[in-house]
Amino acid sequence: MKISKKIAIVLLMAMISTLLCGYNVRFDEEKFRVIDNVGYFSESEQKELHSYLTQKSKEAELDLVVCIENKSVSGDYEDEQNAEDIYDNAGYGYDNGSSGVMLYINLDSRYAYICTTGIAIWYIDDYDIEDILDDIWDDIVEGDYFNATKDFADDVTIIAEKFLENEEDGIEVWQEEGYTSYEDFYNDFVRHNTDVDYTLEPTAGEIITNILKNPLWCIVIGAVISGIVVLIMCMGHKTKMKANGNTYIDRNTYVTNQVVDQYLRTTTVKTKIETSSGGGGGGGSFSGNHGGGGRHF
Amino acid sequence: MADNEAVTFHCPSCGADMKFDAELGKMKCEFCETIADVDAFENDNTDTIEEDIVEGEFEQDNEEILLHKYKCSSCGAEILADDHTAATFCNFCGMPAMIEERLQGEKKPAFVIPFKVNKESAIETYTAWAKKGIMTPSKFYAKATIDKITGIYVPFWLYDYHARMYLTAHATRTRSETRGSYRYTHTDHFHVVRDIETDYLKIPADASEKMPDDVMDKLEPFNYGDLTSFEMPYLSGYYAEKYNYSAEDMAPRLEHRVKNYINTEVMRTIVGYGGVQVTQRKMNVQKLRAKYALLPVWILNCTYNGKNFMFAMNGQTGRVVANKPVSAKKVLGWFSGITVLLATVLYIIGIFL
Repeated sequence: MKISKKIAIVLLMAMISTLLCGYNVRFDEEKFRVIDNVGYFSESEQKELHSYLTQKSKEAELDLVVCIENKSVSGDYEDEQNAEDIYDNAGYGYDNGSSGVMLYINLDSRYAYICTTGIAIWYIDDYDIEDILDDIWDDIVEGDYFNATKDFADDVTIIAEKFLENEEDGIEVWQEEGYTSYEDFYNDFVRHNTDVDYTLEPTAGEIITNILKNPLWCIVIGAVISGIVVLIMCMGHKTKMKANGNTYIDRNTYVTNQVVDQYLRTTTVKTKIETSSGGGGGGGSFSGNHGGGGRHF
Repeated sequence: MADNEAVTFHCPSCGADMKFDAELGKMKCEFCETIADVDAFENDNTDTIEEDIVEGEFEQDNEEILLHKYKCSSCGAEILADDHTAATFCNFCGMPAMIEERLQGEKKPAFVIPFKVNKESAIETYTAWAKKGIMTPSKFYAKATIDKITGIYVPFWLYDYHARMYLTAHATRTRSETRGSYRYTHTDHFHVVRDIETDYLKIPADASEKMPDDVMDKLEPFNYGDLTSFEMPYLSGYYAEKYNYSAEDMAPRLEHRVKNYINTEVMRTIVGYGGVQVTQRKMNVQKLRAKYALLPVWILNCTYNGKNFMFAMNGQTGRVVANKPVSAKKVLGWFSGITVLLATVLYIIGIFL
């Protein structure tokens, strides 16, 4: 065997090992978890928060991030979109997926938003988000984002651990969501770029908002409605036949020779009335690959 | 060369030509405004004009048509008319001319409904109709187009039919009730029989080859209260056609129509059931008589993009039958305009959401 071939095999094995090792890496501890675009935190505060968030991320098995922004936006939707973009672009996510939670604070719009991604959407529902916001609200209002971030990380970890403990206890929460295997549930909520539909549907309001924000959709909707209107305008030009049998019938010669309505029998069909049983499920409201909730301070 | 006669009516006062006035329902001299009853003109104050036959002079749809040439008694100009024209005008002096031989014997109409809508009203109605269609090409309300509107007495056969229908059906009526956790659906079954007969009177069917059947059908109903015995003066000032199709030719179309009428009538009597399944249906329709009549119609033909569009108006009731052509340019304009407007409004709403 030539030396070059040996080198090639070694390199190939090294690459495979790297890939396998990469797969086993739960998350990137070195990735900085404090995004301070306004210079709010001091360097030491940033380091301390990063360490704290990294520690809590390990416990919660979710990537925990904080982001401070000072950006002019036209509405809450833009803030939420911005938070999701920052999270996605930075490549956060636990367990080779995207699972994580970000506390996003925009000082310009004075909007605090908790953005959930991956399995965190399912862990942290709308009520949890409200509870977390309630817990950190005083700090947010007073401008103490350092403590707010720590409290946020604590709260998320507590909620996530409940799920992790339950899973370890054998309570397979994914079954409640109608999944037949944990893999399917995991793929839906954790993995990036999955084609599988989420079981939790976005609200009608969110769908409409998303559509109306997109100019292309506005044109498509406008064209469809316009097409229908123009079609009706064109079709309105037809004249229908007005005369019918009654126009020419001679009632003086009308003779009814026979009229019979004879009862024959009655048949009966018995059917059981189905009663519908209700079911419930957790999870926060979301659209696309993210969930979340927020409020103004 | 054949010797036939065409008729015009002259004013007893000044000798000018007289026309039937739709508003007055009488003959009126356009020159001295003398008014006279239609009856007064039957066989009086008429001129005849001579006729030549010119064969193969024109072609239409690759078929040679036979044109008859008449000499106008007023100006001496030639009047050309095809085989079925019964009343026309001199193209040179505009004098009305009726071809009497096509209105006599078996070709003589039994009835006529005189025009009640005059030309001015017809133009007014047409203009309003054309302008109402926002997709209609502007050519359709140009003066040159509007001036082409023509009053025509269209030949119709008025049929009387006797119809009888015997029908048996299986009908059902359903009701339901709930007892405990069960729903009981009861279906009552009935045997239904109907045997009904009646006459249908004066059902019109146009007997002109030139007039589209569907358009003429939609002009109905005519008010037969104005139906009167035919007299030639009613035609003065209008075009008229003699029938192309005999009463026997048109009978199958009418029988089909009468069968639909009697079927609808019988089915109308079966009420109170949720479902009706006809098991037997026997129909007998019998033509009693058919009378030849001329009925008044205002017609305007206009060609657009190589396709002919006909505006037709009942000359008695004013009912309009026409399919407006659609201008591709206007459709595109409206479509683009509405799309841009809606897209802009939706996007603005989206910004504020």
